[in-house]
Amino acid sequence: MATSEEKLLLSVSYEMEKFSNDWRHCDYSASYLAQLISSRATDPTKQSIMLSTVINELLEVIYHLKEKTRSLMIEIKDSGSDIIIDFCLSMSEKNQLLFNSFFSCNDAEQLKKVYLSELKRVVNNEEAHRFIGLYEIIADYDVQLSYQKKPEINILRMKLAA
Amino acid sequence: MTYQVMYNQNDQMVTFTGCMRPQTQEELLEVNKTLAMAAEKAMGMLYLNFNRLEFINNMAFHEVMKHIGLIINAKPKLTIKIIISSVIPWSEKKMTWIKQFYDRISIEQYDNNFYPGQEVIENDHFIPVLRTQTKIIWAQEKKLLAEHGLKKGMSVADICCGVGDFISLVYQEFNPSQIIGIDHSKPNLNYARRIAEDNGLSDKLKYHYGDAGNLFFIRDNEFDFVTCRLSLQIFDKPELILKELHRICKPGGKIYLTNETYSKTLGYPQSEIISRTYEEASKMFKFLGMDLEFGPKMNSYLQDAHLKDIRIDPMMITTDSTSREDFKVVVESWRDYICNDLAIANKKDETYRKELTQGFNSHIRAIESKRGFASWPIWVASGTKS
Ligand SMILES: C[S@@+](CC[C@H](N)C(=O)[O-])C[C@H]1O[C@@H](n2cnc3c(N)ncnc32)[C@H](O)[C@@H]1O
Repeated sequence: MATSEEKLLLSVSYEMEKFSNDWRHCDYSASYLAQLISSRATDPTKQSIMLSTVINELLEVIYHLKEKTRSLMIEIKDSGSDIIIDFCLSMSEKNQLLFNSFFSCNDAEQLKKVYLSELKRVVNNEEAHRFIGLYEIIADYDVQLSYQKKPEINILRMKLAA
Repeated sequence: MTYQVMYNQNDQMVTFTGCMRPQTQEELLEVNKTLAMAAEKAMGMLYLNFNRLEFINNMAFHEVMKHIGLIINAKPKLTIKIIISSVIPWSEKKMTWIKQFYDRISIEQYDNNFYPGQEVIENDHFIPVLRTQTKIIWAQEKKLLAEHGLKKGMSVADICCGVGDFISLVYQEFNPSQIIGIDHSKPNLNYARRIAEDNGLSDKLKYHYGDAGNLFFIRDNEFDFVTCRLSLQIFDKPELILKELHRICKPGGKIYLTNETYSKTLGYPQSEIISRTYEEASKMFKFLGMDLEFGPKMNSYLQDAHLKDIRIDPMMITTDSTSREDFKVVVESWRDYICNDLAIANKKDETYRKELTQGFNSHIRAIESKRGFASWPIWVASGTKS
């Protein structure tokens, strides 16, 4: 699924059922992938801690989707200026709607405001948005997140400056 | 998810370590218990130290944040200081949000303020000093490294690596299986990376931004040969750095240090003015918390770190052992750095700085003169980890 300007660096595939049977898979996979991607970075340590943080948040969201049926494929691509991480999985109608609504706004400033108001809910012991972790990575790390629906597959794309 | 949370009553500090990525709130009971206990016992200022927590997920962050709120509300006389590290990207981002919700919270980046002289050491005016020094040291150090146990194919970590010249030279000479450099100066690291790239070696020579006193991103027992050159002497608590060097060194591996007796740098003719100059320079370093007379103290520090086979050798750089031209360039770089950055940080006046400049110039003349002599004493020490 890499375009001509995007070079596929690595692709990893999980059986969704296996992935979702142990919470620690999020942490392990995030750290492993982050280290792999960062091994050639200017500052491998800092880059890897940052990448692991953002990948883990997205994997935790995916874990909570409880999509047990098919596979989860993670593709890592290099577009020269950006690192692109595609999380490809099939999703129930309900989950697709959730992401459609989450991605209806793509104004970064607006999303930061939403994050702050969601944090306020946390502080007030109210229930916060279930994707608050995604708001946070957009607000804190300038991660660009997008969602694309293709036949049979849904792609959550994470783009960060290389 | 493996994290530790500990409260130290003496420092009134809760320290978080490891990786905190829980699935459920129950996994954070220890955090809640420790924070509640700390809030109960602490008076005045409570410190929450996150500088060794490599990861935290949002779920844990929210719990910690809520608990901080509980403490702030329940203890109106308590102030909280959150300690973060510039090495851990999430810590500054996440913790800054907390300040938006609660009063009596402050955030301190602990690695902004390791030791009083940090600013003068980490600025880019120091780069010419480091570059030229390595050049005149290497011919002798190469031999001493081998005598102190560095062999081809070993894995090497150079802590406080500066601009990376040493790493490049070790790479060429000893062909290590792996070599990394860690430093806390961004200008130095940028310089080091540029040189590696220019030489087509950026895949082999890896430079990491980090704090020598907190190398949490390196596993225990990872390297065969751990070096820390001309650097223990700049810290006011060298034993803390040594502890980390020891931790990352393999059992049977070596820790290798070099340090100076800077005030004993000599020259002839004009010996007196030259000696006085270096004594003054050493005092100015001392004023900023750096001990450039650390060389002879290494034996006792290495013993305290429980190393065996401790060996100490002199490495005397003289006008005989190195090119006079290169030695002169080193002293020029010292003069420019010490009479400007260092003297200014010491709040020395113009007259003092002029006199000091003349002292360095006398040393330069001694080096240039065919009948003159100059020396710079460095001490090389190593020990084996049991
Ligand atoms: C005197 S220089 C020696 C550099 C190098 N080893 C050499 O001999 O060229 C000390 C180095 O320690 C670095 N440094 C200071 N504090 C540090 C810390 N807490 N962690 C890592 N490096 C640090 C400075 O940026 C500087 O590059």
